[in-house]
Amino acid sequence: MSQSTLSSQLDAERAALLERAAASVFAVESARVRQSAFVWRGGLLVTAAEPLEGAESLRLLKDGSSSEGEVLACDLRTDIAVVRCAAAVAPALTPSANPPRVGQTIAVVGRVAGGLTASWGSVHLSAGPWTTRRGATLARRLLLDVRLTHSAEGAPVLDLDGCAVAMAVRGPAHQVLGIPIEAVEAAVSDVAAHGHIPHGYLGVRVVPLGLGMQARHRLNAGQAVLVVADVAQGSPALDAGLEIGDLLLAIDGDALQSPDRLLGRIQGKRPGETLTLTRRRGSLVDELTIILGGRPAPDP
Amino acid sequence: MSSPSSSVAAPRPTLDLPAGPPKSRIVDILVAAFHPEVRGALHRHLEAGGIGTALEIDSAAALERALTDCAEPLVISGVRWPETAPFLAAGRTHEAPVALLLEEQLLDARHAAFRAGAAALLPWPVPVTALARALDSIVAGFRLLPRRPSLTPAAAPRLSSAALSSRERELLELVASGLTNKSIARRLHLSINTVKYHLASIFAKLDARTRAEAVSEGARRGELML
Repeated sequence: MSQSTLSSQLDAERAALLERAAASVFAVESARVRQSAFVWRGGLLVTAAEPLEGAESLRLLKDGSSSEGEVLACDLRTDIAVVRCAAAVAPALTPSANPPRVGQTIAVVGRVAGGLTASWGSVHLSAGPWTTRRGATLARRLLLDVRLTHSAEGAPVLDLDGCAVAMAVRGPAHQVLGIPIEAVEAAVSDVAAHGHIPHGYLGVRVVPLGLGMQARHRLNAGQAVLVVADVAQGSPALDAGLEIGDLLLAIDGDALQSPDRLLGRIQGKRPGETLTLTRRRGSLVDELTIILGGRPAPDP
Repeated sequence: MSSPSSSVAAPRPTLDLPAGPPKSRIVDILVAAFHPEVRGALHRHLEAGGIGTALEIDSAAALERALTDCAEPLVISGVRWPETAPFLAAGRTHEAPVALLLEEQLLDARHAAFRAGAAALLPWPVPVTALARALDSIVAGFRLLPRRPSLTPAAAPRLSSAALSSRERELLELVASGLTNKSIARRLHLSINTVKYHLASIFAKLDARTRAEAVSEGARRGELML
């Protein structure tokens, strides 16, 4: 077989792969954003959460048709948004059975109003598990060696079988991240079952307490610790024996210097998961293992 | 003058300070607040009431140090909760009574600060004479709450930035759980426009541009239950 036949055969196979996936990929438009989304299950699509900036309704475009999509959940911890669009009748993508391997060839298939976009690349890093900046724990950290335009953010990452391995999003410092497909599946299942993505809930309000040199030394802490300012009735925090005035030094062994960190760690977990707090009361330091609950529904 | 040895008739309940050496007030008053204008205002108040001079403290670490130096310290702090929580915690660690002067809408027996062991919740601003009497009672070991939150003149100068209303807090919690405006409206039986109105107010108060910013700023200021 001559070299030219080989490469044209490869081209044809790649084109066919994109063609098959194309049916599931939509262009997303709102007042502020242009990105991509893909069908994951009947009437439910996923896309990147962060660029949506709280948008609640979107237009989903494909092949000249346009339909309205409603953002059901926007999970900034995992960067996954779930969108409902009954009109977007399209086959769902198949999840890949194998975890992505380093060096494996991948394609990011996006869509703009004008048509399909594709970038080919490879898996740069696949190691797990990984805690995101916003506190969610993902099965693996996936870095992709591929070009990702704004319009392709939220697009599926496909392997050479045309199966989805991840959703492509833009990370810090021009990195292209893959949100593992297991996380996508978990988010969509949650939305299908609960209508939203449940977050963990501890039931405390905290304020940061900056420490002077002496106090840092004495508490063996960093620049700040958190002071419990309130404990909610009937909350996991109350059951665990947290009291107003307790100092929180660490969560799961990591120093706790800002309420943001605590928020991320709590919200990154699901109700039923546990976390360990290092608590100081007076001169006593102990560790509390707490099973997180769900945020109670407000009184109407 | 009474002395322990004097033979007095039937003991009479009294709110005076315990008899003993003639100490008008031997306690050390520590005025602890993060904002200089709050410290200044509290301090001026103490001087105006002839209650004495106090030590101004601007951080919980400094309060801890001062508390270890004082024989019989009394901590006065204000005017917002939970930003005063660290001072209360420090006072509690050293078993010093802590009186919190709080803005009117925060005065409530169910208030977290009272549950946390604050010796007194007093309204800010408080009349000078009432403050003097309150401090006497605290030194005598009593805990104080205003009968109803209306001791203060209506036009009280506010020393702090705006805090969230309880409705706004509730909304912020739902935003934190990742709910969209539409589902928040459904949960709280509000119209979508009311939700947007509240959110705009929350964003303005927290100086936030995005939902994520509002949530993390709310957590930072202790407005959000985590």
